[in-house]
Order: sequence, then structure tokens, then C-alpha cells
Amino acid sequence: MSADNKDDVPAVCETCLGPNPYLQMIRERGGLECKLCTRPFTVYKWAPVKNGPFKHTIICLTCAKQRNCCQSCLLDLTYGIPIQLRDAALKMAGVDGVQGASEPKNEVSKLYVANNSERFKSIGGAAVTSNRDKAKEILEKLAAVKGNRPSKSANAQKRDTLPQHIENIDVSKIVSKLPFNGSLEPPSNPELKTLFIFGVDDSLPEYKITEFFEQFGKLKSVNCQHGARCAFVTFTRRVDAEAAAKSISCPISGQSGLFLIENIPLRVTWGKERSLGTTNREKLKVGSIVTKFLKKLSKNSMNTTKRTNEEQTNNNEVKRVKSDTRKPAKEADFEKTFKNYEY
Amino acid sequence: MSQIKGKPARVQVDPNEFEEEQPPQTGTVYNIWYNKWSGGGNNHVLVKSKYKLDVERDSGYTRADKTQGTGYFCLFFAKGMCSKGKKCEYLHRIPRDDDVFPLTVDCFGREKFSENRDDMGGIGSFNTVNKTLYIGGVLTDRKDVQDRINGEFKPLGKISKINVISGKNCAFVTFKSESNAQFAKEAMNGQSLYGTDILSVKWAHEDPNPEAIRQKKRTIEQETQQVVLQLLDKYKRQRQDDGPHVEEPEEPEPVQVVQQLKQIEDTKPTTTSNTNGILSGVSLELLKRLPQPKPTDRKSLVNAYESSDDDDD
Ligand SMILES: [Zn+2]
Ligand SMILES: [Zn+2]
Ligand SMILES: [Zn+2]
Repeated sequence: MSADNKDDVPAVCETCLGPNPYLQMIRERGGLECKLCTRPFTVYKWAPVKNGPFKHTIICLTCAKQRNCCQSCLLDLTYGIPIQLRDAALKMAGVDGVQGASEPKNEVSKLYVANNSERFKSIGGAAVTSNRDKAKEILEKLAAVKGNRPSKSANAQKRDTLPQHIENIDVSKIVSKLPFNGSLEPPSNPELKTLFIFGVDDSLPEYKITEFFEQFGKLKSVNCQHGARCAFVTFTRRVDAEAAAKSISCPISGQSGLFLIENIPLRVTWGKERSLGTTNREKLKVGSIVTKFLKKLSKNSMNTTKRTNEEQTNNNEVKRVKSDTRKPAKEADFEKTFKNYEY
Repeated sequence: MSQIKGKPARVQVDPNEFEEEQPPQTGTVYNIWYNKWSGGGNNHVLVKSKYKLDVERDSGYTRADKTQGTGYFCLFFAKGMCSKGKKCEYLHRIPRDDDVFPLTVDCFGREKFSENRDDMGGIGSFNTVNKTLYIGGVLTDRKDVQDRINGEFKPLGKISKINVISGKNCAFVTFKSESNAQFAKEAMNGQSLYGTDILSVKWAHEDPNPEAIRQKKRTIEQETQQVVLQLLDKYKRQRQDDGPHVEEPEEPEPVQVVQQLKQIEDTKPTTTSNTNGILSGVSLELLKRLPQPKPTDRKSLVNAYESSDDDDD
């Protein structure tokens, strides 16, 4: 059974068609199997740029219409975005019907859905974006949705409890060797070129850490263990490591320094590279200990800040110095992020 | 693309010495492009690769950098066995952040499929974005295995996460971009960390760990929000561009052409002259510039080089 009838014209987006108004298309009936429903369909080929490479349709018109997507690039015909993204966006806007309707999962059901296009007129958000007025309306609705996204809900609920079998693992040997109580003072051993970072969040990709430290010089290695929430960054040259350490603020001297990457608060000290656990479970357990330790540190620093505030009110001198600091607003922001961050 | 800096691409394999390397015959037809046998069962036998890419040493400009080439990466370069050097029509470097490809093909220009292969090898699916590789055959009991994995995969692109699973002889490597994952998959499959082992690199299944699922949900939300903002931006600009728009009385136009464009039009919400915008419809201006033949059927527009078995009506 063929997937389309002869009089249909292809559903191809403007971008795929290209700039040429005198576009010629080559048509081949039953030329390929539709990549979604596997039925043979009428394939169109054309060159978007004159003498350039050819493009062609890869899914049948029925499948494209059901999804309101381009037969060649599979992007939504209205919004020009991947249909999965479209459906996610519409779901965010609370559009009815998108939630329930989803892509048919296997070949057989895809074929069934495609063959019964009368019943399955649209899949996902196709019904919305194929309607001109609705598509506009939804965009405006989405505009209202953005901005009131709860940004912290995700942080609040994670890493609360570990399963018992991981909780029971003894990692005290590993943890005792990690320099949680180290400082940012340049260590006496000149061979030490490694910084120890803890508080690494699952949502913080390793390359962000790499990019941050590469500003200061060439890195020899980065060992980032998301499970253990720790990373070791080793520089090639000691001076660069020192420059990096110097750039990081250290609210309580003799303790770890604080800095932000992507609004994720991290702590950093000098420290030799050590094992962060060999098995996944060990790493996770180390990670949970790091979390507890971070909570403790942030509580302590809150108390310290409170005390300093009291001192300040009693001492005009200090107050003036404080207001002279170059970026008070930024600093306040910084402190706020640390205090409000829920580990 | 236009700026050509640095050295020419190195010839990785002497074309005279180069023998066509094929995996042991497991099927009836050998497909060079996909480097596998097809037909007669589907046993993928993993062979240790004779060649290996050295990003530092081998990267360089090729013809693909000079001309308006396809913009795709050289599969043979990734595998360390391109014999063409600077004469190659494909790119000889690792993908960068600004190298983006259509949803439907990988960075080598190979067409993706609707589903992943059952064994999670191959080109991958256009229905999912997959940036994570599963690395099998890793000797995870070796002490320096983490360093070796880091050393091999980090030169191939920006890394989001590397996780070596000891006891299971495998590792997961997540790249920042899908292109680099595609590239690394071809570059590292069949390579060896210690000489005696062979790595088998495939697409990772979705991580069932609840934290990973939450993480993914967050990423999708962020991406979606970004896209919505971009869409809104374009939408607003488009409305400004439109201004007061007076529709001129239309000349009689080639009926079939109008019909065809109308049908495309029907699937689009807006009609403006801004053809670059995401929300743009088929330009009416464009339509007016069309020649005025007297077409009797659509074949004047859709030039029909029909397949021979097609009956003409
Ligand atoms: Zn189809
Ligand atoms: Zn398209
Ligand atoms: Zn090449």
C-alpha cells in the first residue's frame, strides 16, 4: 500500500526549499520507504542552492501532516523547531491534549497510526501549530509562562537520601584523605599544582570547570567525579595554579575559597589528587558526605556573616571600608547565592 | 569556514600501502559507508582497529575548508585512516560548538534512523538527542583506567561527564554536543587502552537513575525555554517588519503554481515577506516573480523524472 496519493504536494519548509524561486523538483513515486511508517512514498528531490547538494524528502506526507513537520528536515512547519521540543513547549504552556498524545512507539503501531490517518489526524502538538491562529495564541501564552519558573524546586528535592546499601558503605578512609579542611594559601611544596574543588553539581558539566580554570593557564588534567561531587584540577605550571587560587575569594582565611560557576557555588582548596572512590557506590557515598559537609559550612558562614554585620553596626570605620569595595552589589549577590543555595 | 589557518591535513595512511580494511565477513553484502556486512544475519564482530586518530598531529585544513563543501566530517579521518590529506573533500578536525547539522543526519552526513539499532550501535535515531556513549570492554580493574579514558576521550570534544563503572567493565562518556559524541563513537570504536583490550563504543541507553531523569527533565525545560524566547523574539520582530501591509490586487497567476504554494501555505500560520524568520510563510513577493507559463499540469513546476514503472495519466 502506498503512503500517499498522486495529487499531493510535498510538505517542505522554506529553509529546506532554499532561496531559488525557480525551483525544480524531481519526483519519484514509491522511491523510498518512509523513515517513520516504512510505507513506500513519493520522494521529491531538489537542490536548494543551484548546483549545490540535493535534498530529498525522507518521510511520507501522511506522517508529516500528522506531525505538522517538514518531510525533509522533520522540524515543525510553523515554529521551525524539533517536534519533540515543540511538544515540550506546549506542555509547558499547559496546552490541552498534548500531554496525552505521544509518538507511536514501535513499527507496527506507527504503521497502524499512519494507515488510519483519518482517526489520528495529529500527533503531539501538531494540532496546535498547524492552526495559524492557535500557533500565535500559544506563543503569547508561552510568553506569560516564562519568568515564573520555579528555579530551585529541582535543587531542593535531590540527593536527600541514599539507598541503605550505599549508606552502609564505609568511605572514611577515602574521605579522611581529601583536603576538605585545606586552604587557599600557597602550599610550601612547590610541586603541588593541583586544586581540589568540591560541591560539583550533577547539572554542572565538566567542560565548564575546565573552561573556568583554563583562563589562568594550561591544564595538565581535570579529574571530575560527579558522583563524589568533587574534582581535581591540575595545572601544568605552578604560577598559573597560584593565579587561579588568588582570583578566588576566601571569606575566612585559612579555609576553603568560594566561587561560582553557572550559579553553582563551589569550594576550592589546594590539595594533592586522591582517590574519590573506585566503585560507583563509593563515589555516591563520598558525594553524600560532601553534601553534608557543605551544609555545615554554609550554616557556619551564615553565622559568621551575622557576627560581622553586628560588628559593623558598632564600627563606622569598618562600614566605610565595606562600602568602598569595588563591587558591593556583585558581592552581595554572591553571598546571597551561597546562603540560599540548598545543597 | 572561510578562514584557513594552520597546517594542511596530514595524510594518515599511505594510499599505496592502504589495503581496504573490511571486518570479517559476516554477511553477504559489504557496505563501506557503514563499515559492516549486511544480509545473512547480524553478527557484529568487533575487530581491533589498525589505525588511530591523533587529533593534534592529524588535524588540518582540507578542500572542505576552502570551498563551500558539504561541511561534513571525514569518517576515515575519525578512524585514523584517510589517505587523502589536504585533498579530502571532508573536514579533518574535530567538531566545534558552531558545527550544527540537520536533525536527520550525523556529523559525517549519514542519514539517521527513526529508532536506534537493537544493539545500540550504528548511526542512531533522529527521535532522540543522544550525547552519551557507552564504552564496553574497559579494563576497569586497572589503576590508571580513569586517566586513560580521560586521555582518550577529552581530545575529541568538550566533556560534560565521564563515569567509569568498575566491576561492570564499562564507562559512560557524555559530550557537550551530539556531533562530538558521533565523532568520538567512530574514532574510538575498536580502539584499545592497554593493547590487549578492544573498546566497543555504542550509544548509551537512557540512564534509569532518578537523579539522571530529573537532570534530563531540567535540561529539556531549559532548552525549551530558550527556544520559546527565541521564537517570541522572532515573532515580535516579524510583526514590526510587517508594518501596515497593503495587499495589492493580484495579477492572474499560474494556477497550478498558486495551488501548490497555497497548499504549502496552508500548513503555515503567517504570511510575510520575511523569508528568513522561523515563522515565515511562503513569500508572496516570491510568488509574483514567478514566470508566467501556461502550465497544464504540475509537471511544469515539479519536473517529473518519473521512475520508469510509473504509469502516466
Ligand atoms: Zn510515513
Ligand atoms: Zn525542512
Ligand atoms: Zn578525509
